Amino acid sequence: MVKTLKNIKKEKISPKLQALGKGESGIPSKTQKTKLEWANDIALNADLSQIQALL
Amino acid sequence: MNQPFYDLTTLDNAQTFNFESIGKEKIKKKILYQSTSGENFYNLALVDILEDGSYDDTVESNNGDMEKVLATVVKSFIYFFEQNPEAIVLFKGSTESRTRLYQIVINKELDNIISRFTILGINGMKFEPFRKNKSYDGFAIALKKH
Repeated sequence: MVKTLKNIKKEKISPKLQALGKGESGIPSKTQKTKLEWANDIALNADLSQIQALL
Repeated sequence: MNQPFYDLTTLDNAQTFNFESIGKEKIKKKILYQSTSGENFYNLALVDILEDGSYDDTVESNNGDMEKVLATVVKSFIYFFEQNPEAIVLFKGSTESRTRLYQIVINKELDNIISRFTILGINGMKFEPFRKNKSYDGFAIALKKH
């Protein structure tokens, strides 16, 4: 069913689980962790001023 | 992106969205905007939810609705950035071929989304404005600032 974003329902989940990107069982996949490591590496080491200049 | 998209259910702070891909079969999917070690940086993940509750972002569903699934991810951008306007979202495929698929989708949709979002290509630690027909390790998307 196609719906507009105005109709999106909200649910509750603990912020801790959201931060970890974990689901009902709390088991992320291996590549999900690898991609998160890549993103962490970028977030920590990239030149933020260079990025801001591009935005 | 004027494609049909799936009904999304979002969780607090619009960092997690659930939807059901309905093609040859019904597949529960989740879009995750995961916090990273850097302030305002998020990792985007699109995963299948398996029966045991674990996630899998490697499975090739071949459910016949890829464009609708990707349109749903684009719709989640809009809602996520409404709640997190300073965010910089990083994403790449779980495999090189999937990263190339994302690149093809961005190529195709760039003209539709560029008025609202800035798309950057990432190679190593270097960011640059996304260029069609250039290969990247991954991508970043943020709200256009000016």
